[in-house]
Amino acid sequence: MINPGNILEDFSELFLSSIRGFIVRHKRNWAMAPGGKREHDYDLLINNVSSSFSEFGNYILVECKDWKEKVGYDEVAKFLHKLHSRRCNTGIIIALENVTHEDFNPTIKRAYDQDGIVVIVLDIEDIKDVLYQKINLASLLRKKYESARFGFNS
Amino acid sequence: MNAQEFQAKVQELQDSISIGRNPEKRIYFYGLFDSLFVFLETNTWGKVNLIEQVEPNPQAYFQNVAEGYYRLGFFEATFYHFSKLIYDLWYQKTLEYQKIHNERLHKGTQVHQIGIILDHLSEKSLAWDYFIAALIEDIVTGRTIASSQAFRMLRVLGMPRAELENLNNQIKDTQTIFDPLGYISHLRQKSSLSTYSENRLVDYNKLKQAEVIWDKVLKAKEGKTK
Repeated sequence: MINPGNILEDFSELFLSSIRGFIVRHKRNWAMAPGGKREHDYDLLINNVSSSFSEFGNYILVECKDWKEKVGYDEVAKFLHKLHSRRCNTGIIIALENVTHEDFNPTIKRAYDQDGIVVIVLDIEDIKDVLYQKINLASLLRKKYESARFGFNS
Repeated sequence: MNAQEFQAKVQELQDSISIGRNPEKRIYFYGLFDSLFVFLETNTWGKVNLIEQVEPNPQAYFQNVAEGYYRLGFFEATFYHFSKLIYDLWYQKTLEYQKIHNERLHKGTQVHQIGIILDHLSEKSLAWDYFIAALIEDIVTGRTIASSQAFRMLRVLGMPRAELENLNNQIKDTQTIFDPLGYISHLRQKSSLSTYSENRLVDYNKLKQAEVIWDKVLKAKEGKTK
């Protein structure tokens, strides 16, 4: 039986590994929280061996959110902490309903200025455009990366 | 070289297809190139020389010289570079004309042929952009993308049909585009127009597999919303 919570992760695995050089090394990691409680850590770990995306760093963490509302600042901040503690330069949030104020999200903007971390957000419209081949996934990732890092909006 | 001599040389070049197999004649056309180029470069050209001529027209100097060297390229690849230099010059002269007369001229031949030459020379990344420029010229002229040669070339190089249609929608509502190559840069700034290397980075078979799971994602989302 398919676990509905994992469908988006299964999808994201195939979706992101369609970039040559993005190798999914690990899926659905759990961490131990204080008190011995098991806590969700990250959804995908991508090993980036693509020279075209060298600025993304060797490892990319991916977080998948199939929530019916926007992902809030606190979740983004938690994700940034995971990226920071793993020394990852880039993280991708696949959030169907996007995050709160993607274009002007101060948490995402500050992440690069303070820690050199870029967070790319892909929402339902981005995914549809890529799947229907209206836009190219590599171009979209680059555009989003530049937007987060250099602070311009498309 | 005066105009008369130039015309005679161009005529020789036009007949070059029959002598292309002759190495001595090829050396002759090697030597001739620079003087033909200088003649084209140093003259001011009117519209008749700057637009593509469908019927053979002895006055279509740029076209005749570029085509002549292009045909010689079948025998020796160096001539493709010569042909490209002429198409480049033709394109630049057309831009100059447009600026002076504030009139748009069709430049599809120049950019398309440069794309073809770059493709022959295995410079696919550069050819990609020139074919996009040729497609822009076709769309601006009112041609449908399905009837455009550049559309077919971009399909051959791997650009998905939907991305081309998306490009068509972005361009057709735009006001007059004088410089299609410059416009590509503008498109890349405001949208996610792909480069050849970006297109090569994506495995479309995997995306197709992902699409199957995507339907399940959407169904699960619908279930949550209800």
